[in-house]
Amino acid sequence: MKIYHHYSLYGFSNVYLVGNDDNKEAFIVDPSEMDESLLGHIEKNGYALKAVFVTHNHPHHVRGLKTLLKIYDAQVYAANASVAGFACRALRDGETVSVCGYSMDVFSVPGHSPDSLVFRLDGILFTGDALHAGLIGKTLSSYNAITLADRLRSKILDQADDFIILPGHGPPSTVGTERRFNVGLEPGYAERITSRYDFFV
Amino acid sequence: MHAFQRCSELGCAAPSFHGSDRCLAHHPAPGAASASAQALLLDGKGAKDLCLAGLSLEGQDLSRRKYIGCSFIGASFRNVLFTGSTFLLCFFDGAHVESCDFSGANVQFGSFGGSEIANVSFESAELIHCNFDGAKIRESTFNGSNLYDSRFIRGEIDDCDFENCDLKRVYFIPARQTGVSFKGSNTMEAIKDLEHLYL
Repeated sequence: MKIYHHYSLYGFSNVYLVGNDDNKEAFIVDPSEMDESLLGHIEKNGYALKAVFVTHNHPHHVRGLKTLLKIYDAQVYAANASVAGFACRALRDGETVSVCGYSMDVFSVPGHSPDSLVFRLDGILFTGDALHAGLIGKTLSSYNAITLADRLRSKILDQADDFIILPGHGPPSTVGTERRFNVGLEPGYAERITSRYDFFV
Repeated sequence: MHAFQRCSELGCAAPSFHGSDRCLAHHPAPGAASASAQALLLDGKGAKDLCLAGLSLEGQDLSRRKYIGCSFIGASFRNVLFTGSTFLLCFFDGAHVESCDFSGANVQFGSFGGSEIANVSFESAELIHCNFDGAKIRESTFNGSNLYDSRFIRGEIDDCDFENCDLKRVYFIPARQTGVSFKGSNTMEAIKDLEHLYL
């Protein structure tokens, strides 16, 4: 399995291209943008792009869909039946999708957004904006932050310490590191959230 | 990417070591497994997709090599030269790194989360999109490095130099910092408190 990390300056977000060298099929997670560099990775490896997984429907993670779907006939997977005007195969919590010779497990982790999903491929977790290195995703209320933290603890951070976290923004991490050092999982963090926080996603 | 196979020892949740169905602690011949891994790391120009969790290396020269998708989780490196080496999507979480040299290294999209780093040089290195959350770093230098989009959250940083560094989009929110110098670095472009998160 080959994983390419593509850093998109649109929203400073991470795009992941996952390729299977056995069958030369590939999929993308969170196409923030579709540019020459990403296209080059696909074509240089001779991949047939079969699918696109969307962790949540925010522009920084889906804007590249328009261009991508002009070039490739790929199935889009997301929490809802439509993302950015494109029809999707809607996924449910606990579902497993077979794609490009791999199995993708789906976890519903709302909080940052109602449609937030985390995908697990073997020991790799594509967490979108639900979980970043050291932080949890931005939420609009303490309630959502508490809900998100609870769901992360029960669904994502109960997995093996060495499982890798590939987030929608920022550097990668591991489950063990996040369980020990994530600020958003500290007691009292959610209660400190107020509307004057000026960060955005 | 390296494999995520579990150790076949009953009740052990650790990842299995490269080339085996057991982790290094339950390996029937840990010395031979380590020697074999060491040979892979030293051989040629680098290595890809190796799970070397728990490996212990001392006094080796791994400079100017390229490592992609490798796990060094929980490994121990002492007096190892990584000078000018490239690490892409490599994980050093929980590792002990002591008296090593990463100067001129190109480390991109990697993680040193929860690691212990002592007397290590990261001078003039590219440390882009790197995770140092929870890392205990002491008596080390990052002078002249590009740390773009890296994170130092809830770690302990003592007696370290971050002089003439690019700190753009760096999250520098350690739990403790003493004797840290940022002379000549663009600290205004770093995020130094949770009230100014910018994701």
